[in-house]
Amino acid sequence: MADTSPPRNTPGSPAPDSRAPESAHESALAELLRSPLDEVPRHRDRAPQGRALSAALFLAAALAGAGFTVLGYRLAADNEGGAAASAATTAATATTAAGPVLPAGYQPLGEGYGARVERILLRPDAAFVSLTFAVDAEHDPTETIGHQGGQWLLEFPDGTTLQSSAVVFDPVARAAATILFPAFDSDPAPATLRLVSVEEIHTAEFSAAGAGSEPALPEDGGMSLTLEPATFALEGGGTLRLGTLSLERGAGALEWTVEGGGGKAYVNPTVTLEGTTEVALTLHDPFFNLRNRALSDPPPPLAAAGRAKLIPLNPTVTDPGGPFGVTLSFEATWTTSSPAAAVLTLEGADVVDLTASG
Amino acid sequence: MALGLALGAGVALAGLLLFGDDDPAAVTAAATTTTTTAPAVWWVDAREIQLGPAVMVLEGLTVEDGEAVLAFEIFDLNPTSPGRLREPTYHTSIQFQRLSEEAAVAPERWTLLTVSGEIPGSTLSPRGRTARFELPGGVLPEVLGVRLDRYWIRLPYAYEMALPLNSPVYLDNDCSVGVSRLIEQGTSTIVQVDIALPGGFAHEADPGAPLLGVLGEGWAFTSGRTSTGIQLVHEAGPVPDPIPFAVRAAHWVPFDKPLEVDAGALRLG
Repeated sequence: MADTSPPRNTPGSPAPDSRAPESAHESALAELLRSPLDEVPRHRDRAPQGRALSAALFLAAALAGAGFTVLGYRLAADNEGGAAASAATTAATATTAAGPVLPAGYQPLGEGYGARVERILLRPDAAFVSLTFAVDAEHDPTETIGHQGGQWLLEFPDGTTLQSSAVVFDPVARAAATILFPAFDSDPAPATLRLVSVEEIHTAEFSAAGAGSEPALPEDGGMSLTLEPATFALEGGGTLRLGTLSLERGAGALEWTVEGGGGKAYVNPTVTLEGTTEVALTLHDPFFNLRNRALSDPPPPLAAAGRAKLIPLNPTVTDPGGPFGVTLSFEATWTTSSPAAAVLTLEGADVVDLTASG
Repeated sequence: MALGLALGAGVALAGLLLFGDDDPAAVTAAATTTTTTAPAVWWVDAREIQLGPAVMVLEGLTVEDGEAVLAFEIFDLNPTSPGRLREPTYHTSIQFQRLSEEAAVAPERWTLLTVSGEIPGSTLSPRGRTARFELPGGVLPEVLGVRLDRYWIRLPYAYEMALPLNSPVYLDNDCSVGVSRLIEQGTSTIVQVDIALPGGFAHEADPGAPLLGVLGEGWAFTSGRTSTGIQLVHEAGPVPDPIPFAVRAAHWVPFDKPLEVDAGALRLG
C-alpha cells in the first residue's frame, strides 16, 4: 500500500519524490543498472496483506458462524423446536456471500480479476470492443494470469447475436484487449458481451531434420524436402503435421496443418542449411521489416493450416554450398479451450463511430 | 468466508453436542444456516483513487515559479497479459525505457478547483508524474479540489485492411492512412504511404503507433517507418489496388471522463 505518513512538503518547496535514491551518484548508478523492462510492482506487500485480511475475515466468519449456531441453538431451546429453527434459518440466510471486491465498473471475468468495456470502435469493415482488466482486492496484479482470449458473443436487445472473430492483445498495451466483431449498425450501448469459452495459450519448441545430405541448392528454381518427424502432438490441441519444405536460393517456405479437434496453431520456424557455409532462414511475416520498431511479440494469429515464408537471416549468405544438411526448429503456439460464463455490459463505454467515414 | 462460517458453526455445534442439552432437532436446524454477507472492505487504500485499470495517489501540491505543481503516482492493477516484450536492442532500448516509465493509464488534462475559479493544467507525457497549473498572478488561491478531465489508456488493435490507391482509410479517430505518391521506376514502383495521427500522446514516435505490414506477393522492400509513414517497393507488375495490409497498434486512446477529487486528497502542506 502507499505510504501513509503525513506529507513533509510545504507550499513553495519541491514535491517529495518517493522514488528518489539517497544521492545523485546512487541515482545515476541505479539508472545504469536498471533494466528497461523493469516494472514497478504496484504493491509488493499486496499478497501478504491480502492473506492477513483473509485470515481476519476467516476468523471473524468462524466466530460469527459459532455465534449463529449458538444463537440458533438457544432460540431452539427457548421455543418449540421446529419454529425456533425456522426463525434462525431466515435470519442467517437473508443474503449470500459476495466475492472479493473489484474496482468500480469491473465485472468478474476470471480467477482473481474482472473486466470493464472501455471503448467501442465502429468501422465499415469491423467493430472493435476494447476491455481493460483489473485484479480484485485479494490478488496481486503481477501474479495473476489474465484473460488469454476466448469466444465472445455480442448480444443485442432484439435478439441479434454476433460472434467474435478474434481477441487481440499487445504487451505494450498491458491492461487491455480488443475483441473483433463483424461490422454492425445497431446502437451498442444496450448490448451485452457474453463470454462463452476461454482459451489458454500454449507454446512448445520442436525440431525436425531432412532425411540426409542434399547435393546442393539448384541454380534456378527450387527443391522440395520432407522432414522427419512430420507430426507433433499439441497437447489438447490436435496434431501438427509438417508439409513440404521448399527451398531455393535466398528463400523457402514450410507448409503445415493441424489435424483433429478443430485445432488451430501458429508455426514460427527457423531452418538451418549446413554445408560448407551455414545458412539460416527465418520467418518473414508482414512486420518483418519493422522488427526494430516493434517492442513486442503479441500472441500470433492462429489457423488450421499455414505456409510460413522463409528468408535468409543474413541476406548476403544464401547458398550453403553442397552437399548440405537441413535442420528445422520451430516454436508452435496453440490454444486449448474450456467453457466459461461471464457477462459484461457495454453501457457507459465510449463509442467512436467511423462507419460514415468510408 | 463461508468456510469460516461453516468452521465456526461446526466448532460451536460440536461444543453444543458435547456440552448442551439433548434436543437434536433444534441443533441440526441451526447448524445449516451459516451464510452471511461479506463485510465491506476497502478495495484499495483510502488515499488511492481508482483510474480505470490503475490507481492514482496524489502526493502533494506545491508552488514553483508561479505554477502549482501536483505530484502523483500511479500503480497498475492489471493482471498479466499474453504475448511478450522483445529483448531490447540498440534500436529499441530508449523506447523500452520510455515504456517502462509508463503506467497503464496516463492522466493528461486537469483542472484545479479553487475559491477563485478553475485553473487548467496538464501532464506533458505518459511518463509524467506531475500536473502543472499556471497560476494567475503567481498566487495559489484556496484549493477546493482537483478534477482530472482527460486520461489515456493504451488499447491494442490488430487486423487486416485494404487501402485503395486513391483514397485514405480511417483506422481510428483522427488516425488515417493513405497512399500519397506512386513513383514509377524502370522495373518497379515506389509506393509511399502516409500515416496521420491525432497527436497528443498518440504521436508518430510513440512505440505503440500503428505498424503497417504489406501483404501479398511482389513487394521487394519496405522501409522502416519514416516521419510520415512507410515506403514500399513493388516489383512484380502493376501495384494492386487496393493494397492489403496487416495492421497492429497499441496506441494511447483518450477518455474524457472527468474525475473530481476533493481537497482532502491533495495533502496540502
